[in-house]
Parts: sequence; C-alpha cells; structure tokens
Amino acid sequence: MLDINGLSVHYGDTRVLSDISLRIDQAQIVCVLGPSGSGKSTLLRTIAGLETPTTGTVSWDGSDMTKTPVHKRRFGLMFQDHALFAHRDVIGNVSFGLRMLGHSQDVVESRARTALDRVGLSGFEQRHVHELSGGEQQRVALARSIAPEPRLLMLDEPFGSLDRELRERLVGELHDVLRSVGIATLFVTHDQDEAFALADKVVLLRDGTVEQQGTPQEVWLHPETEAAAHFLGFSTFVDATVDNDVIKFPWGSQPFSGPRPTHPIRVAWRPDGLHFNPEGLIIGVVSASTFRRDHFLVSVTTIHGTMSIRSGEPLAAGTAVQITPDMGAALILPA
Amino acid sequence: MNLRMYISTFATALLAMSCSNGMTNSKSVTLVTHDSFAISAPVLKAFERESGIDVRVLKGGDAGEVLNQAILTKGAPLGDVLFGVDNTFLARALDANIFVPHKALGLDDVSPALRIDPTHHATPIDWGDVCINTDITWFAKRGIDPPKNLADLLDPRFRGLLVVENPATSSPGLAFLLATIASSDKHGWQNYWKRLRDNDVLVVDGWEQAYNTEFSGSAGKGSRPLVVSYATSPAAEVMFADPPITVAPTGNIDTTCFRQIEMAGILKGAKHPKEARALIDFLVSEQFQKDVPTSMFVYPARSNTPLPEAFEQFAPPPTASGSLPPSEISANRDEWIERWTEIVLR
Amino acid sequence: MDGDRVAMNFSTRVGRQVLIAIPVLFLVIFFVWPVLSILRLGLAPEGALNLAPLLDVLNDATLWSVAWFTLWQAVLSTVITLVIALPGAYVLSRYRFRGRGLTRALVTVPFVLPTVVVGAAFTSLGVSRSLTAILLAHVFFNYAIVVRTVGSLWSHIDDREQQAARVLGAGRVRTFVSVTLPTLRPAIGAATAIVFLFCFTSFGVILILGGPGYATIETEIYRQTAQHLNLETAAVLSLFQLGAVIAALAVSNRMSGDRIALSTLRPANQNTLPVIGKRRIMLGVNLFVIGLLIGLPLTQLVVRSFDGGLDGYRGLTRTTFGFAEPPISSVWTSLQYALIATVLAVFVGGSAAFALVRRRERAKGRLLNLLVMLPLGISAVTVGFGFLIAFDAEPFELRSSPAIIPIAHALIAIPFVVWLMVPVLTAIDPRQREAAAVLGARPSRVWREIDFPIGLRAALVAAGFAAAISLGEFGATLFIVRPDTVTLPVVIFRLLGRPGQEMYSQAMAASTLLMFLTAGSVLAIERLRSPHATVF
Repeated sequence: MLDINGLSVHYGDTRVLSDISLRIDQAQIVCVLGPSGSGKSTLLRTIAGLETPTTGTVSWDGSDMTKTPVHKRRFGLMFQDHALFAHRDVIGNVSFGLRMLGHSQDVVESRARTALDRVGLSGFEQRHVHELSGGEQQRVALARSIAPEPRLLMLDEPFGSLDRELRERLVGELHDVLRSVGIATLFVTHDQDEAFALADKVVLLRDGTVEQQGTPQEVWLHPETEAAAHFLGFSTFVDATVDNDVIKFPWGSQPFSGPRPTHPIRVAWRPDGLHFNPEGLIIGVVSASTFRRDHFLVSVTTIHGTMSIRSGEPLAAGTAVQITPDMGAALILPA
Repeated sequence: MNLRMYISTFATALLAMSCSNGMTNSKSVTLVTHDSFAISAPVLKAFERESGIDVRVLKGGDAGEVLNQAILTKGAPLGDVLFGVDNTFLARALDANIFVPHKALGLDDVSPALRIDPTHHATPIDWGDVCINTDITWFAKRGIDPPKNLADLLDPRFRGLLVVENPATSSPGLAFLLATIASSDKHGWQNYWKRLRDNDVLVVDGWEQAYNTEFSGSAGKGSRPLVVSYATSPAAEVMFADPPITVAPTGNIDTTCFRQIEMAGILKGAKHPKEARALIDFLVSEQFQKDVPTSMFVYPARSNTPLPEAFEQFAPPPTASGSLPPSEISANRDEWIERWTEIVLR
Repeated sequence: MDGDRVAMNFSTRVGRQVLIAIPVLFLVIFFVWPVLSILRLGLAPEGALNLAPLLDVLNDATLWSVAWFTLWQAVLSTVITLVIALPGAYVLSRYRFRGRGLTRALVTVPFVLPTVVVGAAFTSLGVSRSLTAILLAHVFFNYAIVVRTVGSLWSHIDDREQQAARVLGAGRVRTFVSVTLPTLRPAIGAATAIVFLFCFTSFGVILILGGPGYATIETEIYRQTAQHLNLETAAVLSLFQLGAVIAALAVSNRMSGDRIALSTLRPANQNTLPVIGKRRIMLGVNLFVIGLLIGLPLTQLVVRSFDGGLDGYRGLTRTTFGFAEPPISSVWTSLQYALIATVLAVFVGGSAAFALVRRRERAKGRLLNLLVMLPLGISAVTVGFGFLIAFDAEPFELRSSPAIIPIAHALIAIPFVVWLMVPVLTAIDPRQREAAAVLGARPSRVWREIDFPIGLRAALVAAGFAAAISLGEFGATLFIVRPDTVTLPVVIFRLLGRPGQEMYSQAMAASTLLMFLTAGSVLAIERLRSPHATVF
C-alpha cells in the first residue's frame, strides 16, 4: 500500500505541490480530481520517481521509496497522451515492461496477449500504433501499463483527448478491467463524472494542496471549502448569519435543522437546489439561458449576486423572476 | 540491427582497414611522386623480381605540392626517393637540402644538356617541352596559316584564339610564362603579356580545363584552336584516337617551347638508402627509359632511347626550346607570378 | 526539464562518457592535432609566436578583397540555394508520386561528383567562367543538403499543427511562416550552416567555373600552402577562415534553438500527400527546376560518355599506358574505402549525435558541436599538410598508410551524420523515455530501447550520405599523400589529365559510372532503412 507523507515539489522557485499526504490501500481506486494546473500530473510523476520531491516521502508497504530509481519502483504510469513507442508495433509496446522484467520470450508473449485480450484488442498485435484510433491507442497504453502487473497503477487523464461517447464507454470498461486486475490505482482527472464513476476515494487537489479527501459520496455531498464546493458544481454562494435554529439571509430568515454551524457562514447551492417560484423571496432578472442537453441553466442577476438555476425550459433574458432556495440541498460553509 | 551488431560491424571495418596488401619481397623502397607519375606494370614487376625490392608508390598532388611536402617533412621523409622535381623547382629543392647525393649508374648515357645538377643530388630522368599546340584542321578549314612564333600571337588575326593556364596554379602555365620571359629581355615579357591580354588571351586554372574544355582540337570540342600544352600532345592524340587516325589533328609551334627536365633524388633520412640508390639507377636504366614516352608522355633522358613511332612522326623532340637557369627561376618565380597576375588578371 | 531526469541518470554513467570520448578522441587525433601542428609552424616557426605575418596580411588589400568576395558569394549562394531547394525538400519529402525515391537519389548525385567532371558538364552546356556559373554550381552541389536535412524532418512532421493554424484563420503563407518554419527551424538552421560553409570554403567550383579572376580564402590558402609553402600567410588565412566558420556555426546554433517541442513525430509513409489539384503544379514546377538544374548537366555527362560509342566504357576494362591496372578496378577500391569511411563516420558521428542530444544546452555540448563541424570549415590542404607533420613518428606513422584515406573521408562525412541524426534524436518525445523507465527499463536500457533504435534509422540515412561522400570525395584525397591505390574520382582526374579522345571518353564514362554508383548506394541504403519501411 502506498503512503505519501508531507510531499512538496518545487520547480526552481515555483512551488508545484505542497505538503501532500495520501494513502492508497490494496486494490483501492483513488482518484485525484482537480482543475488544470493544480499539480495532478506532477503528483503522479513524483510518485513514479520522474520528479524529485523537495520534502516528504513516498513509501510502499512501509518502506521508503523516495530515493528508489524510477525503473525499480514497479509502478505503472499511463501518460496523458499515452506516449506509445512509435517505433514499435502494438505487441512491442505491450510486451515492453514484461521484457524489462526478464521473463522468457514465451512468458512475455503470452502475458502480453493476455493484457491485450483484457482491453479487447486481440488481433491487433502487429499493427503500428499510428494506424490505431484514439480509443485503441488508449487501450494499448492501458494494456502496456497493466501487462507487467505493477503494484500501483497510475493513470494521467487517460480519457483526456477522447470524445464523450467513447470516454463514457471506456470509463465503464476501465472500471471492469481495474476491478478484475485488482491492483491499487491512482488516477487523476479534471472530469468529475470519471472520478465519481471509478473511485473508491476522491482527493480534491487545488493549487498543489489537498483540499479534501474522502469517499465519493462524502466529497460530493459535503465539500469542505468554498473552492471545493465551487469545483464540484456549487454555483450560487450567499453570505448569511446563524441565529439559534434560523439562518438569516439578506432576503429573510429560513429555519434550518442539523448540526449548528458557527457564524458567520456562507451557504451554497447547486443549480438544482434553487427553484423558480412566483412567491420566492429572491427577486432577480434573467441574464442568460444555456442549453444543457436535458435541462437549461438559467443565470439570474440578483442583488445578492448571480445565481444559477436549473430549469425545464429556457427563459428569455430580461425576464423578471422570483426564486426559492431548497434548504435541504444547501451546503453550509464557514465564511 | 541491435547494439551488438552495430559494434561488431565497426570492429570488422577497423580490422579490414588494418589489413594492408601483403608484400612479397623482404626489401622495399618507397617512391614519393606527383600524380602524373606512371609506369607500366610489367616494367615495374620486372624490376621488383630482378632486384628483390618491392616498390611502393606514394602520390601527393602535383609536382609543386609534392616538393613542398618533402620540404615540410625534411628529416622524417614520407619515403626514400622523390621523383618529379623539375628545373623550375630544382633550386628550391637544393636550397632546402632535402636530397643526399648519388651518382646514378648510367648517368653518363644521359645527354649532358640535361645534367643540370653537377652535385648529383638530383638525377635527370626525363624531359618534356611545353609548347603551343595548334588545331590543324581549324586553321586549314579557314585557310589561315597558324602563328609561327610568340610575336605572331599578338597579331589581331589570332585574336581570341589562345587559351593558356594560370602560372600560379599550373605547371605548363608557369612553363609558358617562363618561355616568354626567356625569349625577351629583362622587362620585355611584361609588355608582351599586356599586349597578349589585349589580344583576348583566355586564362584558365589548369591544363585539364584548357585542353579538354577550351581547346578546339581535342575531345572537348572547345572554341579556341591554340592552347598551351605539351610537345607530345599531338602524338597522344594519335595514339589515343577513337576511331584510330593516321594523321595528327594537332601540331606544335616549335619556337614557343620551354623545356622542363624532371629529376629524382634520394631523400635525406630515407629508411632504405641502399634500395633507394637501386631505384634511382633503375629510373635511368634502359628498361624504364623505354617506358617513359608511353606512360608519361615525355621524352626519356637517356640518349639513344628508341621513341615510339607516333612520337617520331608527330612529336619529334623540339630542338630550339627556351630555358632559364634554375637559380634564376627560383629567385624570381614568386615575383614573376605576382607581376603576371597583376598584368593579366586584375 | 521533464525528459532530462531519465536522461540525466544515465548521463552520470560511463556510457555517456564513452559517447563523448569517441568523437572527441577521433577528432582531436585526426583533425585538431594536424591542424594545430601546421598552424604552429606558420605562426610560431621558432617556437615563439610571431605576429609580423599577421600584420602583413591584415595590411594586404588584395587579401581583404578576397575575403570580401568569399563572404558575399557564400551568402548569396546560400540564399539562392535555400530559396530553390526548400520547396523541393517539401515536395520530395511529402508528396506521394511515382519515382520519388529515384528523384531523391538523383538530387543527391551532384553532391558527390568531382568538380572537374561537373565543370566539364557545365562548360559544355555553355555555362562557364562567371559569377553566374559559380552560383549555379553551388546550387547544383548543395541542393541535396537542403533536401536531405530539411526533408528528413519535414517528412515526420505532424500536419495537425498546420491544419490548426489554417483553421484559426492563418493563410498559407502565414501558416508556413508562423507554424511550419519554426518547427523546421533546427533542420533549416543546420542546412543553412552546411551550405554556407560549403560555399564559403568552395574550392573546385571557384577554380574551374569562376576562372582565375576569382579567388576565395580557400583557393588562396591552397596557393600559399601547396604552391608557395608560405605557411605564415596560410596560417593567418586559416585563422581568419576559422573565425568566420565559428561565427557561422554560432549563428546556426542560435537559429536551431534548443529543443523542438514536437509532441509526436509521424512515420514518413503515413504522412505523404496525394498529388491532386494545385499540388500538381507545385510538383511540376519543382520537378522542372530539378530537371533543369540537376538533370540537364547530369544528362550532358552521360551523353558525352557516349561520344565515342561504347568505346569509353570498353576502355575502362583495359589497362592503358601508364596505369597500373584498368580504371574499372578503382571501383572496387572506392567501394572498400566507402565502406570503411561510412562505418567510421556513422560510429563516430552517431556517438557525437547521441552525446549532443544529451547535453546540447551546456557549454561542453556546444564545444563538441563545434569540434564536430569544424572539418567542414578547414581547408583540405591544411588538414592534408597537417597530417604530414603530425603523423611523422610511431605510433602514428599514418602518413602513407591506406587507412588515412577513409579517415579523411570520415572527417568530412561526420558532420553530415551528426546533422542528419541530431534533429531526429532531439525530436524524440521525452515521455517515451519516461514511459520506458516507468515500465522498468534502467537508464542504459532506456537508451538502448528508445534512443538507439530511433537513432539507428536516422543513422542509416546518414550512412547513405556518408557512403556517397566517400565515393565522390576528391579534394581531401588529393591533398593527402596516398599509396598508388586509386579511387574512382582520382582515376577520372588522371584520365582528364591526359590528351586524346579515348582518355576523354573514358573519363566521361567513369564519371557516369560514379554517378550511378552513388545513386545506387544512396538508394540501396534508403531501402535498408527499415524492413517494413514504416516508422522513421
């Protein structure tokens, strides 16, 4: 099992990762979720040994690996753009790691075929990587990573460059493959759907620090910071104060049950936590409606700030509306 | 191909490189010479067989370069014998003191006029004349008589007909310059060249280009019917004609010639002095001398050496060639060339 | 910085030291030492530095005008060559048409033909003794350099970047200038530098096609060294030339920049374009230029070789008076030398290329780069005469060994090997090395599995070039003392040095033979590039 303790990485004077601590158990799938530039790739590269940490340790099963060279770590890393070997064919790519382990030709061959089979690419052995589609390349990269049976598999935005439909299908397939292989997996992405579909544990990374970590449900339902909330789809934020069982909003007080927060606070909603209601206390004007496949996202300008609301149909810009927040869907954050 | 093959290929190549041709005899001698040196294989083989000495030939460029290389490597010479120092370079070679003396066996049979080094550091081997060649057909077709001497070349009738070589880069070019110097008084030659230039003389850098490209009388089919070449060139035109011909298409203007005498000497510091002496003796011997005309297109130094028929017929040895003392050439060469360059090229 | 960590690990090991040591040792022994020896003799004949000749030369107006002419004709020749050859490089590397391989081989042929032969061909076409002739000949000889150096990178460039620029609204010209050119910059920089160096140090072309009225620093060094043995002036001129060459290389280094950030290189065969629509015009124009500039003189050569029917060719198998063996036997000699020179050049140059890619940014890397390129900028006569002084004692008594000829050929071929390999090696995505390391390859293994196979394919192309250079090399061969085993170009030179129709026909026949031999060797090695002839 992987243990990361107080890990910091600098590029020159720039701090890229700061005091990261993280743990991955046997057969666990951990997903690092964060916007671009948050240091996700650097984290993977540091664990792989491609970058040197300024402070902190990377250890496996209790033994410190911080000084172990890349090739001795037995970690697998699937690069964002796959980094397939252009001068080798498919089987040459997949068998590479097995050859490095010094297996006999037969073992290399059969295990590489097994790995290819696992990703559904039997029969592609002699193909050149440039003849493959994006999805096929991705699967070759995956097969190449799992073939030598690494003790930790790391995936860097594995679906980054693929179209949505293919991505959704591959996420499903990847889930099955990872479960069947049963190895510890660390996987970074900026896409929440991927993260929540695959992970046993989600780690939110922002500006090189861990913002929050927990099970997908915990993280999804209870972001602990405004930034985390923002990243996870909370789009409307309002300042408020607490008075006994009542939260006092600028537009009036609303009863609230649950753990008593300290004041002042900030309350957040996702678009589906706000509703149009002719009797709503919040008054605003529609500034735009955006089509979102199965619904519309309506931006409303109010004196409390801009609010995003989910709606069944579009509303014309300039329409006056009234809004009611759903306190059951509200997220209470310290201000 | 993998790494191991890569390295082993390299090793094999190195091995191949280190293997040189095996020599048969225990004794050997190295002859350093210019690119025009040539000898028929049977003649050389015969010498090697009879003397038990293997001959290695090293070539180092034209006559001037080879001499300069010899001067540069004085004390640690490239070989044992140097062939190819002519009378225009003799003084430089003697001043640089690169030879040890040796009076060759058979030197007495060499005509006295060619024995220009009484100290026997350099032994005369052959001689050749640089003359103006004419394209006989060209003149015949137009019903013009070809020029008869150097002065004729200034005649407007022969304007734009002559191609010469640059004396700075070509040995026949230098010889022709010397011919014009030898035939006039102290500064007369400068005036001559000014007028030659006004008569549209063409200067090229080497004999190959002058003869093969610009001259109308040879294979290159150029446009100029007069060229500075060798007295033996007409004979060569017959011997190497294709298809065979019986009359030379070119001829010499005898009065425009300058004599070049080629010599050989034993290099100071030679590793095989005894074999070197034997080689010099061989170069003066009848066998080698007979081979000289056809392999190098020059006249043998040894008197009474029979000439090939084509030579007798189309290239009889010129009799009235100009010459200058080697010491005078050596002392003035650079200045003459410099002056010539200013007059003709700038 | 990302890719270098994997590389760095290896670079601390013995392997990298060996990679650097091979070219450094070879060049120091066979180039730097001889050149320094002869310069020392010129500048410090009595052991102490004598600056008087330096001042004399600096005050000589004639030499200044020679220097000025050398510079501007080189710049002009380079510009014209680039303008004409860049479109050719594009067409020959990207368009898919029948006879492409043959055309590519054809344009390489001039590069290796002896100047005497080319001079004869040009002259019989009516082009001679003028600045125009010099410029035309420089384009004729150097076209291949641009096509090879730039084309080899161009054929692997992913079009998507250009397409992106087009989509973003950039016009064709704008796309070329702002996207394609920067990507090609390392290769163009390299090609510019080589072409400039070749024109700057041009020798045979100036003598034969310029005529005696034109002189360059190179011809002047030859005159001063070989003819006058005036080593002082020659040494000063050599230093001057050296300065200019170093400046040119520095500019080229600047132009090439550091690494190119190519995310992927595409295999050449996947990357060709069908010739349709406007491309037909593009192809037609370029083939016309190639035909006029290169095809015509070469055809002229072949035609002249048949002046006497087949007799020129028949004559090649006979031993003519004055020759030790029939001219045809020199073909075998030439091939042997070419093989050895090629292996030497690829081994030494390849090691240098691998080492350079590792440490290009560093001062030491720049020094190595300079060292490798210098043989192109130093007069052959300086090196040749340097050999005489440097190798006059055991264990280096090599002056009269046959080995000296392939060594001299290799010296000239090494820069090309480096120049052809470095752009391909620099373009390797560092992530490929990282991926290999993560998959368990130790650093030396990463090199063997990634850099080496990719480099080897580039090396095979370079080998074709090196073989061609060796086959046609004449200048250096002439200036070093050589045993009486003659190469084909030397035979041609000697045949041309004799009067008579038969000799002339034989010379033309031998030149034609050399031409086909060269084209053949280049074609053969290109075929060898990869069994599947696919990636790279």
